[in-house]
Amino acid sequence: MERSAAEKPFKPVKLCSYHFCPLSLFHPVTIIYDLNYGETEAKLVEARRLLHHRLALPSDRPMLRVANALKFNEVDPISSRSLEAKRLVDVHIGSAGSGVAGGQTSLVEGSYEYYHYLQDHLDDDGWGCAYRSLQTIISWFRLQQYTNVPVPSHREIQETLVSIGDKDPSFIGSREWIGAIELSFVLDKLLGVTCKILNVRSGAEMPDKCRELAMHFTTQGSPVMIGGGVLAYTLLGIDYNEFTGESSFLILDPHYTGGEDLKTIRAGGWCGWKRAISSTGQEFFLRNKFYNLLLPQRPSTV
Amino acid sequence: MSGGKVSFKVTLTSDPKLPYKVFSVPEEAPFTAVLKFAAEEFKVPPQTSAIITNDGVGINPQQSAGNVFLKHGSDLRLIPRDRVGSSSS
Repeated sequence: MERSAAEKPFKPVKLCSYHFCPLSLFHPVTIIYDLNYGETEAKLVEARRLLHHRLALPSDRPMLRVANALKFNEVDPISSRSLEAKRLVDVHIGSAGSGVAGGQTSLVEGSYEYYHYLQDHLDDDGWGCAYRSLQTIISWFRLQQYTNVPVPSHREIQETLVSIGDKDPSFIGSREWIGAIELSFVLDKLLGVTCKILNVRSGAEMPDKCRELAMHFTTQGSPVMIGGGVLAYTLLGIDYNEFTGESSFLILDPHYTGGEDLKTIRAGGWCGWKRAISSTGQEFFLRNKFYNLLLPQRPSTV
Repeated sequence: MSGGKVSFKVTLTSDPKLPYKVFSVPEEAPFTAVLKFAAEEFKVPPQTSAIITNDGVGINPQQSAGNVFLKHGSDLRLIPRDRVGSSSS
């Protein structure tokens, strides 16, 4: 506290104490943070790194961020902005099998919230699917305790893109489409998260990416956004047989316009396994379109 | 330090032959200029193109070329931007 006051004698400090009990410690600790600094400020990262070192905590994952703090009075730890029904989480659990014989399944690790069209009284039908996929991804980072930055609204996403210079100010309040590149910029700016982008020249080549996607789910475990052929999807898993080449993609579809009802979502195929080529020969990924896959990386940071 | 130049090798990944071009720009030049030159050389629209590193990390072009060179090196790729939004029927 003295250090904060000494460094910025004329700036009011916003000190707040948080309690933590990481698994490797036998007792809780209390840390006092100056909330004037955002979580990704280099100064706070260094302070946390020193604390990790003093407490003999691993240095490659967040354990002492505000998001990791013990919560005592909160009933709902997931801060959802929905005024009505609570958002559904992990809707893929319990869904029917992929149908790939002898396949190797790799799935998203941890929890996420299902964001889709028309939630929060916002009519984004026809333009907001990439925004919704981004919200699902950010909810994953929140639920895995990497951040407590609130899931941004469509407007806040647009404001972020304008603030970094990627879009003109007229973009705010518009219904303009965005894609994987914009998602990577917002994740970098708001959460400090790096993303890898896989460019796939043709939808017919998507099955060739299964090995890389399986590696992503195994090592990173974060949801993937697929952008291409005018549609955005969130990818939650891969099942593929490397010998037969059969592949299936666990897709969470942000274009759903119904209510928060798991039965309806499952019955309508809004979350489920999609074969690259269906039994009727229909392609899920179009061969004459390119696709960009956004693979958010877990920050190796404290 | 000013007056120095940095070079980038930009590969067009949408072409299976993987053509590339090498650009040399002043360090202080905005990276948007590299994106624009690369897109024009490859005859693709700059507004719907993006540059990523060889590892696939996206690069925000609103920074200096020198900054990009230091952070990401010189081996880059030009990819088309997807813009998605239509509701599926």
